[in-house]
Amino acid sequence: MKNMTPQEKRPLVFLLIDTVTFLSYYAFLLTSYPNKVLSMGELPFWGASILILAPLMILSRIVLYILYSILNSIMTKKREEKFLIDEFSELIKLRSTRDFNNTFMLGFMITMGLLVFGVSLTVMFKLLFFCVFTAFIAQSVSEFYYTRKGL
Amino acid sequence: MQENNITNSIRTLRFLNNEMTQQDLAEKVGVTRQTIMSMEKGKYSPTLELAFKIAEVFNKNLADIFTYKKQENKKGLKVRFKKQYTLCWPVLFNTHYCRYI
Repeated sequence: MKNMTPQEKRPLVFLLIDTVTFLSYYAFLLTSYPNKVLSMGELPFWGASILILAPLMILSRIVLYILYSILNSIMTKKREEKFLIDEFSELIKLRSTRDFNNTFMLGFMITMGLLVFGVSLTVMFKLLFFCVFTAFIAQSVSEFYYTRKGL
Repeated sequence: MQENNITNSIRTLRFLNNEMTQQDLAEKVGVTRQTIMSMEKGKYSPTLELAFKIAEVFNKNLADIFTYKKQENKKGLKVRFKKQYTLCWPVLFNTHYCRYI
């Protein structure tokens, strides 16, 4: 980790942030599920949960990354490097976004396929939830991979 | 992953220019150290604009820094063959039938 450049560290930090955010949000949903389903109904509950998930992940990425940078600069006593986005990082960003979309689409198709085989709505929404999470993971992993291995 | 056919002598030129660091070169051309590192390892081919900027820093011509190695593998030949024939067929078809119009 020490020899890594900030461009290599960033996706790894995002990976950690995404996992923590998703798991805590999912745990929160599971605990509030029985009460909320009764008051809102099954479909509005899952709709609202998925709608909240994406902005929550983005917001947590911003807030927790700022926290990480502050803590990192305190611990290492080094000033945070200016984060520059150049042509190489732009290309990597494009490819990782492509991987995000592909992973999500694949997950979406699998979920729809399972629906044909009679999977319940609750399971379908849970699977869709995990699709979003997997897509975020795929994005971070591919960003890290392309930064290391090149284009 | 696509094979990189462009090689460069950035590392040597940096060394010859008072052992310029990757960070120094990156700052001069306005990219990150990661980009310079990837270019030196041959993992990334820069855009024409960045290539010109690098050449300007070292006061050299583009061809003195970047070299293009022509490599044709089996796949390349197959693609060329396919391209040639997809272009040829409509032409042959038209010339053949145009005679009867």
